[in-house]
Amino acid sequence: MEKTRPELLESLKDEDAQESWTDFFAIYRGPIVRFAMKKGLREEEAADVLQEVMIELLRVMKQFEYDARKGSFRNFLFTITKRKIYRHWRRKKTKGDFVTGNAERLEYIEDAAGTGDPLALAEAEEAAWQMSIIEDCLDELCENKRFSAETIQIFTEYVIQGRPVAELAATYGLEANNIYQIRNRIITVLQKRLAKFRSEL
Amino acid sequence: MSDEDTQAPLFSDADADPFDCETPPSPEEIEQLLTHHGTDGRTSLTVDFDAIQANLQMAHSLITALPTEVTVTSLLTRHPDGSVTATEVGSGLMVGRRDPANLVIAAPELSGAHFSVGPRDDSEFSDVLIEDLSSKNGTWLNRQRLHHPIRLKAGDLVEAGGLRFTLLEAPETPDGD
Repeated sequence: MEKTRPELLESLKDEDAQESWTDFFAIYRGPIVRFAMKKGLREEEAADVLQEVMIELLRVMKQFEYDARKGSFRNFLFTITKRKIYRHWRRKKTKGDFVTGNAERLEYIEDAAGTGDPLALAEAEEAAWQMSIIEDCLDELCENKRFSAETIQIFTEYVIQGRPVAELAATYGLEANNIYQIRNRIITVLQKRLAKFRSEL
Repeated sequence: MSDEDTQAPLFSDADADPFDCETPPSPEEIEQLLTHHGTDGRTSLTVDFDAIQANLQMAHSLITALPTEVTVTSLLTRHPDGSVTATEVGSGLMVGRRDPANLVIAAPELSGAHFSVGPRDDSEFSDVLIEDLSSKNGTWLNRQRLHHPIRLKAGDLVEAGGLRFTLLEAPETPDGD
């Protein structure tokens, strides 16, 4: 039987919680890695962030008391993830491991240090986090054959890249209505996926 | 197209979303997000998630067996008797069977001075390095034999002398530094 999110979080505290951690890991691994990559880390560095975040959670969850009134678990996880990414950047800065002229990355470090516009940073990070979830979902849809790679490609070109429907329809030999159907069906899946990350606990 | 995106249900009961009890974002919100923040650089990840998960399972068993909370960066050790201890890494830690090791463990397959763990430098965000000290039976990091000093991350699996170790970093401070 599927666990609700509070049940899953509570079960992570058990000494014999491997199965719960496996479920938890499967849900969050992709979005965490993708979010770290959006913040400019290389994939192997983003994988390091994932491991460090999960280890931090292993430690914290021993004392974790679920209380919906105290704020969302999502924000708690998000905060830990951002701190680990920030530490990676500080390490890179210490080692001089920067791509010359990468203003966006340097800006992130300064913002994370509290020198930027906190509201703008929070909004940008929220959008990046949600895009990470969406991208992970799209990738998963490709992998499990729920949709063909071509369908995902059409969706990407239409919704994300803004390619005109008529042009897409001609390219892929479809009716315009097929393009709209693809958009609607995939967005329905994305709605479900985003809802579980958006839930406030 | 060979997919099922025409009429079939998108989620079966078997993979019903366990958290699907909240109001989902509207299609318009999602479309706006995709339009404004989307990227055509979406790629499949090549991360070895299984390896990370294996490390997490090992770390979970060590962390749950810890009798006390760890507040400084520490090396967790599963001892031959099954107990788990946390030893502060500090400015450096040498693990072995006898002096000059400062984490001494009576394990016959461990060399006198087997491996060391310590910060690369004294900066606040220094990496922690692990180095095999020419041990007889070798030191293994995430199932790979160590041949040179390398960064040790929180949760990495270290195996030496038939024992298992992992690194636990000091907890994050509220302001992130």
